[in-house]
Amino acid sequence: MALFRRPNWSALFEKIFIQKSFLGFCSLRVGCEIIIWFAIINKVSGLYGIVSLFQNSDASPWQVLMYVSSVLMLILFSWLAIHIPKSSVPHALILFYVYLIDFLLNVLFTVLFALSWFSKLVQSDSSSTEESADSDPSPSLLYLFFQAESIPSLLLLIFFASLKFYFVLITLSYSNKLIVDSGIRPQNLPPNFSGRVTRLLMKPYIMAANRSYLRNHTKRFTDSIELEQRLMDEVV
Amino acid sequence: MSALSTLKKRLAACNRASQYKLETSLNPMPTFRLLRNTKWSWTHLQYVFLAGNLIFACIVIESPGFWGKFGIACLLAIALTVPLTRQIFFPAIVIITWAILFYSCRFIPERWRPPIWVRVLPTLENILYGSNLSSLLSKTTHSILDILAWVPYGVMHYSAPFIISFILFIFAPPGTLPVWARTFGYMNLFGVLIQMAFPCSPPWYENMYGLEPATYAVRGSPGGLARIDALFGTSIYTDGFSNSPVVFGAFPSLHAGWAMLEALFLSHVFPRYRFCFYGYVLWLCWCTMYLTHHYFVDLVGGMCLAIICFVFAQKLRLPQLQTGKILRWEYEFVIHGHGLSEKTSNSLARTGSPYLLGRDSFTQNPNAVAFMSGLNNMELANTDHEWSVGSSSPEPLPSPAADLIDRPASTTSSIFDASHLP
Repeated sequence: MALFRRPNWSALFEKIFIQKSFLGFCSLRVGCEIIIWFAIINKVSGLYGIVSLFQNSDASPWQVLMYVSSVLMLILFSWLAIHIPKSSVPHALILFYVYLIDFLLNVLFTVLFALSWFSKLVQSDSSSTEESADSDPSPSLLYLFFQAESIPSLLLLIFFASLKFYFVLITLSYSNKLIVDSGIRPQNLPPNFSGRVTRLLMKPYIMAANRSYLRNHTKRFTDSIELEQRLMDEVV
Repeated sequence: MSALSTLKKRLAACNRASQYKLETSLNPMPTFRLLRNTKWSWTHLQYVFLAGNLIFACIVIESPGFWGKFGIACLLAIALTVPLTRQIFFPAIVIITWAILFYSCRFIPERWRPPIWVRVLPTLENILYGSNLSSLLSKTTHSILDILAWVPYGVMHYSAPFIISFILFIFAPPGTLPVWARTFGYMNLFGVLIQMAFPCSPPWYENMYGLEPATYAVRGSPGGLARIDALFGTSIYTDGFSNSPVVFGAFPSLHAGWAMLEALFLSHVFPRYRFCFYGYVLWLCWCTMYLTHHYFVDLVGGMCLAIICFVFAQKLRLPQLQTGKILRWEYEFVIHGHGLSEKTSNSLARTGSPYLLGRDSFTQNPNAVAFMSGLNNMELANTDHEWSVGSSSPEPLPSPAADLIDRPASTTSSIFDASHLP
């Protein structure tokens, strides 16, 4: 009978991506505090990058874009760092979205700068090798790539990218946990600006969690029935 | 006038009997009694780890010889046994281990050490942050910039830990100084272990030798600090860095780690001025890059290491500030940590009422903190209470914390539990 059960995609997704704790022994709130601090430290490079622009006249537009976005992200993460320890639902949601955007932007910049760096490296190495030994044939591209200590650099880059992806999952799990624990519903939010922003940010969670909410609806309805019965008994 | 009366109230509060008194005894028997009463747990594996590091350093170090090392070991054992010195040396055991391990790096045979990475940090710097920030920031030099870089890097860096220790002893809850000592020691210990396992060349190596492979025969260079030596006509930094035990310890930057940890602890004690402390960290990071001692990747590694150590200390052990208290003598009780895991955090809020407190759950209830703070404030207010017709007695209100003061510490604490240390 179990073999013919339809796959429950939302439960499967939740089981794979939603984490219960940070690294197995810290709470998600502690994990988010650490994640925010790490993000702030990385974005400090924007300040020094902008300072170094005054001494580097041949900076590419991608570098300028990266430094400016780093400074903006630094301001945003600093503002979030004040509110995350207070277990605020809107700020946790904003943290997840901002961190996701930052992760994607960083992957783009890293790939761009990596291709630029390694191509420059291979060109300079091949030119120096050709100058030193003209009679010998030019060594292969792979040999030059391996000679420049590129393997540990690539491994470290992949490790850092994987770590940031795990951090994205932690922020997602923390915001999901706060929404579930606080019992906030879109119809309960106030109609002011923060309420509208929170409702907009919560929309993907509501769509993804519709089945589980429907599954839990009966329980709440039963509680209401019991409450009504108790009130009727008191009246009688 | 109100400031003077407030000062009188605080000084009167300092004269109260407290369980957080300094040890003055020279009798080693209480130490053995505490050792016998210890309930062992997994946290005591850290002492096995520290002993392993000390044994390795003892094997490797060639100068001083056997009798010198034996003498140092005996002195350390005596210092850890006598209560007068135990209260200082036991929290500082990690710092001592780090210092000895750092010194032993000079004597480690080259065949035991991994190869030195020269291109990894420049590659990461250019890929992760767009350009070589250290190279760009150190391109333009000036005497005024040299002085600005030297003051935090060469002067405040080495004196700040002592000043902060004094500040944490006076203006923080009792028990903060041992936590600072442990956190500082573990950050440095892990930093040196990473530097030993992952040796990388600093920016001054790239400036002097290009990207050629490095060997352990290369001696350290002061980098930009050579200009300070030339400016003052001295050779302090040239000699110091030439004889450094760890030449290729670029990653992680412990300069950045020190500054970050100091900023975090001072921000915990003085939250109002935390942006000044963070500004100092930014200043020091610029100094290291300007003086060609670290890449920005090293600074990120050092600061992340400091944050990890601080978050662990804060959640597990760091005493919490209480409203309205400034000096250490004003604290009648101390609450340690916030809880690292979900289970611990939930148990803190389990007791809902401050009036239904047992002795065990008293110090862990946030409501009890507010309740006791209110009682203490009332007690402080009663210090200058004048006799009037309406009052029946000039005695202060009874305090539930009085039960904690008379609790015998020798039966419940152990030598490895730092809560009984001042």
